[in-house]
Amino acid sequence: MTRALLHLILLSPLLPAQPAERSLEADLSSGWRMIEGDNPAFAQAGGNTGTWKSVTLPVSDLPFGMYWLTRTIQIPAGSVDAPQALVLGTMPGEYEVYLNGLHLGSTPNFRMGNVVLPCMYSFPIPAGILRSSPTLYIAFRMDVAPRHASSEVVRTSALYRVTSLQAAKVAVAGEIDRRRVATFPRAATLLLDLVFAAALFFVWRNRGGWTAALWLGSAFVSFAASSAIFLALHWSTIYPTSTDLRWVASAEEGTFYLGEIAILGFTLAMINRVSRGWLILPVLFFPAICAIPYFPGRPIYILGDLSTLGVAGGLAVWRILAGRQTGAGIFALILAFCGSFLMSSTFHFTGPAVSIGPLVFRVDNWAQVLIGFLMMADVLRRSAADWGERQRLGSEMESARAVQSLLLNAQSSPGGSEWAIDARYVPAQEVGGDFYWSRVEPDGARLILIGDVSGKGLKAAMLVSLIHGALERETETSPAALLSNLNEVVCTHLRGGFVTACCARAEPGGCLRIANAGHVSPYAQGLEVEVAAGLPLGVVRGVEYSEVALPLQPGSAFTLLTDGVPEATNAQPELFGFDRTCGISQQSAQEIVSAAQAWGQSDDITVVKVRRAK
Amino acid sequence: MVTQTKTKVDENGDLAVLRFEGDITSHSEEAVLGKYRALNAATKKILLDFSKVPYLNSSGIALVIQLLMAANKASQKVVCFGLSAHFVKVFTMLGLAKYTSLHADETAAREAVG
Repeated sequence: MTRALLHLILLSPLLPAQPAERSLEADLSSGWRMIEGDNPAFAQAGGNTGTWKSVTLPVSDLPFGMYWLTRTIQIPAGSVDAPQALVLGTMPGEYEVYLNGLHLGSTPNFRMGNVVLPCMYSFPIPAGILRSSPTLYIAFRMDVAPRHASSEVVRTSALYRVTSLQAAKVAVAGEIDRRRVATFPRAATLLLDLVFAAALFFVWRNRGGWTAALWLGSAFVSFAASSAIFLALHWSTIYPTSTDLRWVASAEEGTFYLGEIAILGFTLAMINRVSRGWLILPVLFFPAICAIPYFPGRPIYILGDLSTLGVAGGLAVWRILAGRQTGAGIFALILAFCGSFLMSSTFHFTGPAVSIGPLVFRVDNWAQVLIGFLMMADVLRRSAADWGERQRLGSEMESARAVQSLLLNAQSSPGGSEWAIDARYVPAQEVGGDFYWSRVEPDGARLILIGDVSGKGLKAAMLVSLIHGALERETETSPAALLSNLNEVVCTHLRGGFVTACCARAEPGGCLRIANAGHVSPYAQGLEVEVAAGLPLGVVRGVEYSEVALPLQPGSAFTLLTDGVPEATNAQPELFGFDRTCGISQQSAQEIVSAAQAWGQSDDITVVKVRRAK
Repeated sequence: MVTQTKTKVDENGDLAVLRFEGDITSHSEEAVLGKYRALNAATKKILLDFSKVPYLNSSGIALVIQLLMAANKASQKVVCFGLSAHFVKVFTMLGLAKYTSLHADETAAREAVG
């Protein structure tokens, strides 16, 4: 076998040359007769076409409907022995081809709906036809239907010939190469969509969860996916004739429509306090949009449009009429119309296109990129301003936290009393509503007060500062009287809410006098101290509090804490509770705080441990 | 997770029962004070049902205290029932005995309110 091949290769230059094959070359652009209507008999030669309209290819501006086009060419006798093919450039619709009554083939999706993939097609001519008749009767049965307009971005060449099969292959390959180059701008919009999406996802991920950025980024991803499907179609080598490509068009339209839904989600996110439930309506239309290629006709397009235009536009009008967020309403209205325009231009009409050299720029694609860029720029500008404001507020809260920390830590200094303090304060947010205060009296006694402003955050912290100021000016030395005075101050300044507080006077000699204003009872020697219940500060004026006395041995301690300890909550959710709090009350302040935090901090936590010197 | 407070109001003559459901927090003003203010003017006895309230934070307790103060001013008698042991202790510490009484269930509360 190998030897035979070697002989063939070595001897081939000595073999006689084959004569060149003769090919039929004919221009098919003119000489056509056309009639509107559909009659299978037109596939056969012999009919009277004298009354038909005389046309030249390409035919344009035909109303939707079925058409037949026919013409005849003469074949010189014995002049053709090369394989031949029909090369057909742009046509106004999908079609099937007949030669001398024989069905030669059809374009993809002929009579399958509105999916039209205009391209140059070649149809090989069976050799028998050319030998059997001196004339070639060519008939097109053509369906002019609403087009899937995105497929028309690249105008197909107006080339119509009978030529050799080899020349036909070269022509079609050249057309596909030209199509690939022409659609580079669409590839550029795809890349821009992805860049925009990346920028928006970055903002969503790293700038405080801007959901508007997430929605808009998702829209860009959908548009990019739609473009990718488009490009996959147009960059593919060749479409096999009579192949059902409706699922591809369905995917292209579906992904684009998902982008529309995302744009609507973006609109809703930009208009605060509007339920995302409105999105359910366009989502319900999604299957219908994907089915467009299977059910041609304008009504279904209009339904698709109404889903986005109706929801976004209706919302906008409602917001404007309600007199709330008029600017946002107008913005939504503009978006709704833009979205509708983009959908319409994609699904209904051939968008206007501009050719620059071999590149084709479709205006509606670039309008989408421009509008998208402006929307993205607005989101980035707003998120940057919002981020700056957050940073500024965060900085101010940090400053407030530092000031509060200084205020509280100043109370921990032990000097001048036989009673030493160990205090821990862990706010649930940057600043909190818990506080403690201490003062050493001239007789060596130590006044200690722990309190909790209802609520958290800056408002509570501001009230804590006010209470601290009042305590610094306070001259009363009795816990009960001090709480009564403080109640008047708090009643004057508090609008809603209350302050719980427990005040203790630890006297030289070990006597502890305690008054309570609705606060968690103190703990001593592992037991809860029985104190008289009293109303919290700030509820009503003129409250008088009572005191209890408790002796403490040298070296022993008592513990004051806020409800952040017993109300620490775990994932179940289960409260830490008073029993567990009592159980750990003899531990150090830090250990108690750590136990509460380990359980699950939900509120400010403050623990003050007061120990009598040995 | 903090749940939304819902309030069901049962009114019968001069007796009204406010049945709270969900956590009572700073977001519960309408559910607590709003429902109280909307009660019939003839209401003289009010039962507060906390049996479906898993948690009250300090802001929520503040709302209950405001309700108690307003009812006290309007000479209405308020009793509470259904509080967990934890919040019975909290209410007791807050010194609210002057303004309300705490009961285990609705039957005991109805008996107390007379």
